[in-house]
Amino acid sequence: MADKIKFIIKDLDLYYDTFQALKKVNIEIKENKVTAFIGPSGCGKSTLLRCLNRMNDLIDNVKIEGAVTLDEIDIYGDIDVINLRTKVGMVFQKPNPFPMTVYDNIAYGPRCQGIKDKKKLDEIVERSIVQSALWDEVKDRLNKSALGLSGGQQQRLCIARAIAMEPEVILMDEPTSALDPIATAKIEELMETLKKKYTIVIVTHSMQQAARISDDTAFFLSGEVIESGKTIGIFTNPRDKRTEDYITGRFG
Amino acid sequence: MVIRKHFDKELDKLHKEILLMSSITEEMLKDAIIALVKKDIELAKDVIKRDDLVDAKEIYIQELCVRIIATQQPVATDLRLLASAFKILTNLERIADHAVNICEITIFLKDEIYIKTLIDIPKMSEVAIDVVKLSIDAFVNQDISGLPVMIEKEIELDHLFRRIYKELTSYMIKDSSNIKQASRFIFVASYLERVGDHATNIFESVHYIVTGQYKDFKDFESNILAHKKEVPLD
Repeated sequence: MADKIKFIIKDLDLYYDTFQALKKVNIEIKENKVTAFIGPSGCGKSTLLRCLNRMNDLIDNVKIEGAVTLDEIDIYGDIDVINLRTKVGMVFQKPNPFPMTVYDNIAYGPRCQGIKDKKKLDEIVERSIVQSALWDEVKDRLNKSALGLSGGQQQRLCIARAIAMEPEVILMDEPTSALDPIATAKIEELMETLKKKYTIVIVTHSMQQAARISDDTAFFLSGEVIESGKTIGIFTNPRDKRTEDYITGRFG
Repeated sequence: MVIRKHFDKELDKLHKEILLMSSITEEMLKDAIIALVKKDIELAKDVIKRDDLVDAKEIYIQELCVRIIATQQPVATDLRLLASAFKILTNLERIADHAVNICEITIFLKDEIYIKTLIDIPKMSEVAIDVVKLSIDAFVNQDISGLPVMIEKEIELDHLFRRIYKELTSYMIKDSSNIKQASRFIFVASYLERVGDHATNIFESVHYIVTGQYKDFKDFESNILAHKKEVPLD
């Protein structure tokens, strides 16, 4: 069965003032797959990630041309951005729990959406934390501050917080770069489970991580997508010499 | 900016070690045939001794490959190279084993007067050594343009094998006392043919390193098969 396409990015140009950060980017992101964006710093991979839930709207002087569709709907058209960001959740490089209890961190989004029923909130909190493979570690400290959790636990809490909104897509911007190998392995394991339910797009600086966890990979260089396709193909037999040179560490 | 000096140094070492192992193997094969033709038992024993060196090299290079994989986590061409290196090593080691097999026959026949002068076997060994060289050159230069020559030589090898087989079976039919020697010489020719097969395997590995595609040597095989029809074995 052919994979369903979640995002279609077509001829996307993005400018920060006069600087062009993305150049005619064309790429498709498949549903229920993990897609990795790789490339050297400043290549545009995080910029593209932030285009997928319009986080770049928050930056001044950004100009975007081209199209990004989510389930065939143009997300730069006349849409509700809040609704878009509910559908397309995000996890950042540094875990950023709110300075409140574990429970309140997860319940924050649903409460903002108007859910007040305690039983319903309890359900959402438990389900989100279970799905983030954190339940056993925090079930006895739901009412303690989230800031007391370890870095890896905090990051899984942030994933739980994103999941609580029942998104369709989770964007992850270097989600494990601040974590130790064990915490990283836990997040990677988690992604394998999460992709059954969600579409995941991850920006990573670790080639090995991209190779380990993603189904598809796109390699960026100076704002362009040089090569994209199945991860196994990119890492065993890249078509473009620039991809080969980057992933084998011939330039960095 | 080149940021993988250490990695490149390790790969360079791997190349050199495989090259060294292949030249030891080539020499063994060459000397095995000289020993057989000249009935030089000392040389035959020396070749057998050198097999320990090849075995040790195989282990050393395997460990080197494992170390590179563990520490450098290679991808793309580097990964294909390392994955193929294991296969290349195995094939080189088998070639060395065949040189040993030939020397064992030399020692076995040491008290015999040969039933005929050996002409085609040395000829066949030259071609076998050529194909080993071709495959190793392809590996060293990461260049598979030698494929047509490789095919040509493989066909020649096959042709020589069939000729030797026919001639020696006729000796056996003529006089059953020839069986002891003739059957051993057929073994020698068969070992040389196997050497050609191992060289082909090495060439296929190089093809994978260079192109990323496992070549199904169908054209190659169909050439050989067409040729086999022309010169049947029996």
